[in-house]
Parts: sequence; C-alpha cells; structure tokens
Amino acid sequence: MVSSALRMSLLDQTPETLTKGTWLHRWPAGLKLFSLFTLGTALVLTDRLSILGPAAIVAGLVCLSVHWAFFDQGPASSSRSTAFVWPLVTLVVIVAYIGIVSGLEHAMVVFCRLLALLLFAVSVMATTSVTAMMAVVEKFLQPFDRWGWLRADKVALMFGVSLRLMPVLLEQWHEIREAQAARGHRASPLALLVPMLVRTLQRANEMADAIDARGGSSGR
Amino acid sequence: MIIEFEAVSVERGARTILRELNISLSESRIGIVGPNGAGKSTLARLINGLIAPSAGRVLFNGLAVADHLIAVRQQIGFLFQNPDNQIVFPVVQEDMAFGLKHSLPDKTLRAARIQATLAQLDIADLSERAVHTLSGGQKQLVALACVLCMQPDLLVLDEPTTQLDLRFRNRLLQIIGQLPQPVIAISHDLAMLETFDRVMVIDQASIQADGPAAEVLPWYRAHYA
Repeated sequence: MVSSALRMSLLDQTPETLTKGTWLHRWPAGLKLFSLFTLGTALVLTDRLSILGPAAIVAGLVCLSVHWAFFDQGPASSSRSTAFVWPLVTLVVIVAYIGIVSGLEHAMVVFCRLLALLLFAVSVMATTSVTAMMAVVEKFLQPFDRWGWLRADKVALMFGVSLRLMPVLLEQWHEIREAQAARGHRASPLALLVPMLVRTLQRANEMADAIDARGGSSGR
Repeated sequence: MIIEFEAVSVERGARTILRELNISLSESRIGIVGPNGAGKSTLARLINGLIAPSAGRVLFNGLAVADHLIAVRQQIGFLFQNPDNQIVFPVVQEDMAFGLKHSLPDKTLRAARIQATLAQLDIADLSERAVHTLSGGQKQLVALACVLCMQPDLLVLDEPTTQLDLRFRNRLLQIIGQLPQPVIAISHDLAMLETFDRVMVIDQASIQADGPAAEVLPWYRAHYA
C-alpha cells in the first residue's frame, strides 16, 4: 500500500512538477522531512480518535492542495487519479479485518492513523526532489560520519536509490506476474517471489557496479 | 590510451572465465565478440576494476588498475547493457549531476556541462524528463550522456545496442562514430564493428582471433554462425 502510494508520488517527480509552486513546494526539504518525522511520531504515540480524525482530514486537505494540479490536467492525469484507489482499497481491507478482530473503535483509530501518515508522506514525496531529500539525510548524518560510525554520503545514496527503485521493482513484479500468467501458472507466492528475489539481486549487483563505475564512491 | 593485460586470469570457483590473457589495447576502436558466457563482459569489467583478476594485473595508461581504482574510473566511462540499472535518479538532469558530484563541485559549471552534453547528443529536450517516461532508446542515450558528461578518456560499451530498435541503434552508432575518445565495444551486432580498427573473438576463456575487423569478422561468421 505504502509502496504504491510512494510510487505514485515519485512518478510525479520531475523538475516541472516539483516547481509547481504550491505552498508545500516552497518549504525547504529539511523542514518537510522534520515535520513528517514529528507528525509521524505523534500520530503513532496517540490513540485518541479526537486527534487522529482531524489529523486525517488535515492530511487529506494538504494532499489535495498539492495534487490538485494533477487532477486538473484532463485524461492524461487519470492514471494518477486512479493510483490513489489501490492504496485506499488496501487500507480499507486492513481496517475491516481489524474491525472484525478488535472492534469498530480500534479500527477507526488505525484507519485515521494510517490514512494521515500515508497522505502526509505522499504530499512530502510529491513536492521534494530525491536529490534534496538525499542532501538532508546526508547533512543530518554528518555528525555520525565525523565520529566514524557510518558514511553519511553512502547512507544518503542508499536512501535515494531505494526511492528510485520502488517504481522499477513494482514494474518488475508486474512483469514476472504477467510472465507466469502467460505460461498458464496461477499466482503462487513462491513462483513470484523466487524470480523476484533473483532479479532484484542481479539488478542490485549491476546497479552497484554502475555507481562504482561512475565514481559514486568518493574514495574513502 | 593503452591498456595492458599481463597474464590475467579470472576464476569463479572451479570455472575458469579468462585464462592467462596477455594483450595490449591501443587502437581507437576495438570490438569484442564471442558466444554468450565466453567472458566478454568480464574482460570489459577488468579494465575499470569492477572485477579483480584472480591472477595477473591490468594496467591503464601505465597505472595498475587495482591500485588506482578511483583515478582509473575517472578516466573510463562504462555504458551498461541495461540503462535501467545504470540510471540512479528519477530525473535525467539529477542523474547526470550525480556522476559529476565529486569531479565538478560547482553547481553552475555542473549544470552547464550537463546541458552541453545533452545538446551534443541532441537530447536537450529530455533534461527535465522523469526517467520512467522515457523509451528504451532514450534511456540508453541518457545513460550515454551520463557517461560522456564526465569527459572520460576511454569509453567501454557493454552490448550497447541490444535493447534498441533500428532507429535508436543507428542513432547510437552515429554518435559513437563521432566520439573523439577511444571506444571498446562488446557486441553481438557485427555490423556495428565492421568499421572498427581491431576485433577480438573470445571463447573458451581465451582469445580465438584478433586482428582488423575485415579479417576477423568473416572468420567469426564462418566459425560461430
């Protein structure tokens, strides 16, 4: 659910969309990530529906204000609009299950929390370039780098590559599923997961080679 | 540009991929052909140290590749077969900027270099495009642009035309033909190699034929078709 929502926001990322000029676009990347982290922590720590409900509504309004331009672009934007459907369907299924197991109130708490988190995250991702996010991560980790605990640039690169790979891996998943279907196989988890894992590892290997070949490591 | 292989062997477990190669490469256009799994990509990856030899050593312009990895990689541009695995960032100009991060820290100069390279390949209009919206051919041109903007002294191309349609294949070959840098290309596209100065056939872990394209390619067609 989260990966498909993030994919949706990442697919929207081009300098053109990133400079659309909504109020959230103008926020510095560091402030956006810090706000997302703080809000996420607060939403996880509270169980009060009186807080989570309005939070989900606010998140919806934020997301709508950011994505409004995309919905207003005619037929070409319809895939972006429908991209919201599957994450929401998944969310509703999860909440329905929780409702059956733990009761309606708990289900509503989970629903509002997940929805708010999802919409805030999508809004941030859709308005922040991967490069800007990487710069924030690298800056944030600099002290740990100085103490020799980790390599800030490599962690930032890992973060950036993970974001870039989400849509690529989703596409790969669909390809494998289609290939299995074309051979008349029913979708069994093992038949999907094994080729997915093998291809992902091969891709990771080649990507690491490509990053090395382009001087991705600064030599330390 | 001169690349020397001194008694280079590569082994993976019990399998010998390359056996005691002693070659010197200095021509402007060098092609490498051979059956699948013959060790062509391994040979290419040895040149910029992506693979370390099990025995022997590789020298690039007199530098031992294993001892000067960073310096050597700054001089060698490597184009992979699948551009999707080479392009790391979601937007074309961001990806090109990634390769220049260390060699060109000034953002204005970096942006100018990126625009100049895109213009050189006649794909300036792709600068702000999201990578996932590009066709396979456009992605391969972008991957080449990412390599060229680093202004390498040598280009190594690993089956660059495999995933391209005829139009993009011809365009890529035209671009490669005009490049001032020496090029080493691994390819099954024999027509691409016909104008090359030197072609090597690799099979069974060693070089089976080596010489001008006009001599080696007919021999390869006769023995491997």
